[in-house]
Amino acid sequence: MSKFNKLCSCEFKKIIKKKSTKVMFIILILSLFASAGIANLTKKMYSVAEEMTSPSNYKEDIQSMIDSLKFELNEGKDSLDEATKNEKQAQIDTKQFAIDNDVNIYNEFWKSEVIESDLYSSKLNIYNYKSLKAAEEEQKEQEKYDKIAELVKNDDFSGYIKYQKEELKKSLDANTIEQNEYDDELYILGLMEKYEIGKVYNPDEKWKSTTVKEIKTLKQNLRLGIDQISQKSLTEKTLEETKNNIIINEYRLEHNMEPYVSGMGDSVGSTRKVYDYMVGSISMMVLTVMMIIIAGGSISSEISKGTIKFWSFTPNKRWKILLSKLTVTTIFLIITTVILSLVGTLVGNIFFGASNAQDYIYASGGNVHTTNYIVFSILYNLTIAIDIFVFVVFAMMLSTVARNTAVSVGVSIAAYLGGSTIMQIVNMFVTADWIKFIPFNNLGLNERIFTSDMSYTSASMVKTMTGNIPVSFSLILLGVCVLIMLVTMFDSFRKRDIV
Amino acid sequence: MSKTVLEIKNVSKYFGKAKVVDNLSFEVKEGEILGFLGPNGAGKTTTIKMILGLLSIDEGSITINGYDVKKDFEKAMEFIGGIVENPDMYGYMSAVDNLKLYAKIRNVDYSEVYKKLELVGLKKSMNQKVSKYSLGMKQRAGLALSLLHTPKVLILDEPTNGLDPVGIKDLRDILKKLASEKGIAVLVSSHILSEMELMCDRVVVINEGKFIKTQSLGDENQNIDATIGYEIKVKNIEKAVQVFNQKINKEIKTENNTIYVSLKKNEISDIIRALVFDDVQIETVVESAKTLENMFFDVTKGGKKDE
Repeated sequence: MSKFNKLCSCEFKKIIKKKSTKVMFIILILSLFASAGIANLTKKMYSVAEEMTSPSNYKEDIQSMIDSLKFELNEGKDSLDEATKNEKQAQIDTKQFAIDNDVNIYNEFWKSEVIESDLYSSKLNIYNYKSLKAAEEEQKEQEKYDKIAELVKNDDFSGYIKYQKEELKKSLDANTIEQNEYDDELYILGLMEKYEIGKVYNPDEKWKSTTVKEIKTLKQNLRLGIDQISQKSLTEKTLEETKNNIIINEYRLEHNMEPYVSGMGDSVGSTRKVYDYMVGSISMMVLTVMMIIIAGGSISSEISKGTIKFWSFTPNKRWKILLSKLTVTTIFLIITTVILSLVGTLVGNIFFGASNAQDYIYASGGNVHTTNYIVFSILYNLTIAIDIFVFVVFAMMLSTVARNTAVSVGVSIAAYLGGSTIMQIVNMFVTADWIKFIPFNNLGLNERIFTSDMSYTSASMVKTMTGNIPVSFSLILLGVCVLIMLVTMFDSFRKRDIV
Repeated sequence: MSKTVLEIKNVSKYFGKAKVVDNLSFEVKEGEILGFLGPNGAGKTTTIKMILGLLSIDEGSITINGYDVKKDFEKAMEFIGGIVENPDMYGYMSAVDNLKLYAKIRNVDYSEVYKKLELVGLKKSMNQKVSKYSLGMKQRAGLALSLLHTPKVLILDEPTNGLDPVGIKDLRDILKKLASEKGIAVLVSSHILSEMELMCDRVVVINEGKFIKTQSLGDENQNIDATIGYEIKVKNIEKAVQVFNQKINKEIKTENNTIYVSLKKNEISDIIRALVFDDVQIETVVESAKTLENMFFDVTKGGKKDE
């Protein structure tokens, strides 16, 4: 074993034998349980929100709406024009139809949608034709209405899809849509039919309809050559991204793999998925604080306690001592991250079941690949560890330069907790290009590297919020920052006297 | 002639504009125990820190066993061990663990750890955490640690702090044994002059960063011409003073019934004979142990720096 390795192994022993490290480790494991609790809570909040938007006593609700519509109609018998009257009457009729057929129009499934859109417009047409005294058209529309109403009454989902396909064909024949749009729409309908999206009401499968809608949007993007979220035309890169996201979404539907966030954050994934992300934020935050405490005290506490004296007159140059400290802290960070990922998986398996652990999906070269759950959680947490490493170097530099544990730990934790918040506020007001050179804006690599766990829409929103900085740029900038801090640190430690 | 293992040559050190060590030179030979004396703020600890590479050397050079501290730091540090200011260790670990850590870095076998702990008499409480130790025990642990790799040069800064009389005697015995058997050169700084007198072969005195003088101690054959202080306690002081004035041409000081006189070693018997001859009743004759102290006060002007 070389001298440097020996130095490192001694440093490692020192860290492990410290009581504070042991305490922090216990807190770290406890934070996993906290993550599990918060994941449960988040999920519950979403279901409460769901309950509020689609109440079970919908019939009274609809009835009161009908009553108020009727009242308005009565009041405005003379003042309202024919078209408005027709609209209101059509609404009353369709809502009444919903009550008669026990359809909760607040829920998201096909019957609600049919009643709210197809039946309503059909009914409106009927009334309008009636006003225009166009008996022939009225008759035709009435037939259409009866046909759709029949589908609802018979609970005929596939019939509804078939009806839509027919309508689509008619539009194509009438030249109101292009051939490629027709193909896309037909494809979407095919998906809906295949996975029976919206056939029965189920809040846990809300993501499926959101995902299909997203596929539709993405296909539209491809067709138009514009990204509808950022309002920019597709470049070669975003074109590839769009294609990849379509196949990822298809893969999700096919394998019933719910994303962490679907659509624009309409629903969150399974409790397990929420837990995984909570581990990534809460437990990794605890780990950051732990590492800052270790790194922030590494030099200054040895100087204040005098133990540095024993090390500095061993046959090792000073920079070697410092380098061994840095190396060990980094290795400790990596090992702890891996352990945390593994224990996190275990805790997740205990609380939410091993079968719910979902592999990570990504697409490259037109094919969908998956990464094993455990491998992914380690990789994901290691990307977070890059951020932590930056703060570790920062804390260590302060520890070497200021030689005061309280200052280095305090300032580093303040920078870690406050930095991103302050940057968010600054980013709201400043839109200049140079803002991407601020290191804080380049942290949070995990959110930008592993994007396909979120829906394309959410991922793009996150990207826009963080300033659309490319990952490679961030890595280079952080690397330069770390280098500057390292040079400062080594220079200060090498030259200054130990008094 | 024994080899010089630690050589300090024209060393100066500045703290800001203040020159705390000024052109200091001395050397320590193999097997020698050198006392390093000086009042507070004389630059002792600064010099020791420079020897151990804790402080940079502004001017001059320090060589340990032939290796320059500045140029050949790693080689030089292989031959040195020591305690500076306090014997600081990791309080949350036991003495054994502390020593084992150090043994690893110094590339020493673990068996040596137990040997050295036994040597300093710490074997019983070696598994206790260091934070629970008393200062004396910490000093012993620190000594064990600095002896772990059997250095050629051992530097001890105030090693008797917090040690009980038994501990001080143990330390003295250990140092003497190491110096004579293994030829370790020891540099001890301390304020307890009586201790230094018993322990050291030679002392170096510095003041305000400057070398003042060096003096050998204890070796009687070499010091045949050196004067030693004597305290002669008598019954009838007037008569004794009279004898001194008439027959012995020496400068004396009196206090109560005691006469203080500085003499060469071979002169005392003549003086006693003369006193007895004139019926002076002598109660005690004591060789004054205050020679080092006197010298110390002389050279440091009573230890008052500001005068």
